[in-house]
Amino acid sequence: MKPASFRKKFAAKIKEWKYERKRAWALVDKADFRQLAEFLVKKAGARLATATGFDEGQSFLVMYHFSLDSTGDFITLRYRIPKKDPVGVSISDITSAAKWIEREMMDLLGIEFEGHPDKRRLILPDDASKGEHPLRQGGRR
Amino acid sequence: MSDINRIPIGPYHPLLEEAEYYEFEVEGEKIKSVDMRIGWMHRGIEKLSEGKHFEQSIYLVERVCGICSTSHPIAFVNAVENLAGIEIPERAAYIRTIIGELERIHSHLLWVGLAGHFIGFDTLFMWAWKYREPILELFEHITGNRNSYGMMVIGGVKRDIKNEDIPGIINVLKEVERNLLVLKKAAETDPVLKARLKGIGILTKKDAIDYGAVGPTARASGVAIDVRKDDPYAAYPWLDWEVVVLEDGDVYAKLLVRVLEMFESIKMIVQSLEALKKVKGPIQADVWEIPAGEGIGRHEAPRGEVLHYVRTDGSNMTVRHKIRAPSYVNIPTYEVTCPGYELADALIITAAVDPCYCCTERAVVVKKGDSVFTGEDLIEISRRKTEELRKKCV
Repeated sequence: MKPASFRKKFAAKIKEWKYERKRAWALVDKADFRQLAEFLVKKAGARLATATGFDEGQSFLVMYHFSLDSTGDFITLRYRIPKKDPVGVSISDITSAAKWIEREMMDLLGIEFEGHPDKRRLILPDDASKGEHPLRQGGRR
Repeated sequence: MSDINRIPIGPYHPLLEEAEYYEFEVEGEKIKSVDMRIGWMHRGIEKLSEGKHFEQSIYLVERVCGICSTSHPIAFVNAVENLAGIEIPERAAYIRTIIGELERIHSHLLWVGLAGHFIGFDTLFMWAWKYREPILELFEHITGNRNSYGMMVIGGVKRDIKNEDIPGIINVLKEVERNLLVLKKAAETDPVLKARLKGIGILTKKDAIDYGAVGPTARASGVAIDVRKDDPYAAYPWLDWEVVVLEDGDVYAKLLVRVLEMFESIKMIVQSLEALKKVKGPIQADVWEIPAGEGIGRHEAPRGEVLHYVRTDGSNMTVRHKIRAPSYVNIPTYEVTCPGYELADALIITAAVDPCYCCTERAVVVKKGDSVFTGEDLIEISRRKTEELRKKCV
């Protein structure tokens, strides 16, 4: 599947779209994210390469990088969540590739992933104090 | 009632690049389940990279891994070039390919040697590492370093390969290829090796896709993904080579994929060197300002796809830099490849994805509070199994 046809199919759900040099960036609503991710993995044959969170100050941008290996394109699906209530949606039941990276984001950015089956720490030590998230801006270095 | 033991393995052993913790649940000799933990060696490189300018970040990411040290710089410069739309000169593209492929050969030979050691083939171990030595010497000759080559720069490479050196390099590669043929023959015909590795630690195609496995781990399970073909960069699109894909998914298939890939690498290096004789021109593009934006760069490292996501704000530093190494998606496959096999196979199954496995040196079984079992024992039982097979095969 080409990114352009993905965009056409979900035009109503994609709020912002940019495609440049084989990388597509799609901003969606958190409520729609799971459906789109499921389509990419199950129908379009995309592989979840990794996911990233970015601290924007008042909000987090949560990005899932899907690789379309048949065309060499990337589709990055992303949604915004407020920093005050940092709750994302887990897709680890859709692809096992999400299991570790969502745990990592829980540790390093302090984003809670609803529906994740295993919320133990992955990167941070067990005795790290609660509320300490190294990749948050302005946090403790 | 069955006697279920938990075997903790790891975590501390900073000899190689990773420290991990595995906990095997075994019933008698059979593995029931495995749990993994990472984080002991987390050095916060993503955070360190924020606040370094792009040139400094290249040095930083070169130190992510000590074995495939050029993988991260290539992926990082690819990411920045993707973000800024920089085209690199033809000559630089060939040199990048040569460095990347030489690294694959030395890394695969290192793995073949270690795998041999774990299952009691110490001759294989010594041969493989002996064959690896000329590659490191080539690196020293070309880049000045046996490891951490410092070759990548945004827009090209740092050092040129002199045209008068090319025939000498090709001669070394021919010698390496002859040696690899011996290895290949041994891998394809040795009955003990086959009996020991065939049908062990099978990763099905479905699981490989589900876990998002990459590199030889995925290609040994019939998943034909390779960044060099799928999303070509450097000189890969101009070269004639094949992606090695096997279907079985067991440890033996993973061994064969790596052995066969080395021949493809030699093919690519020789073609690139021949092309260098004809391609003149600079080895660096003119790079001015890096605009604000986002880019994703990747490189097919010896272990699989390395991915770098870079976000910039128009200054000379990254504001977010995400690094995803191949072992991060390959190691979780242990959840499906280990259960059902014997403890004696655990070592080679986990080693088959080519993580750092020196952690096993610290394996300890705790039974009623007493330590009864060490990592040396784990290597010992793995080697003993091979010995038994050897007696049967002869």
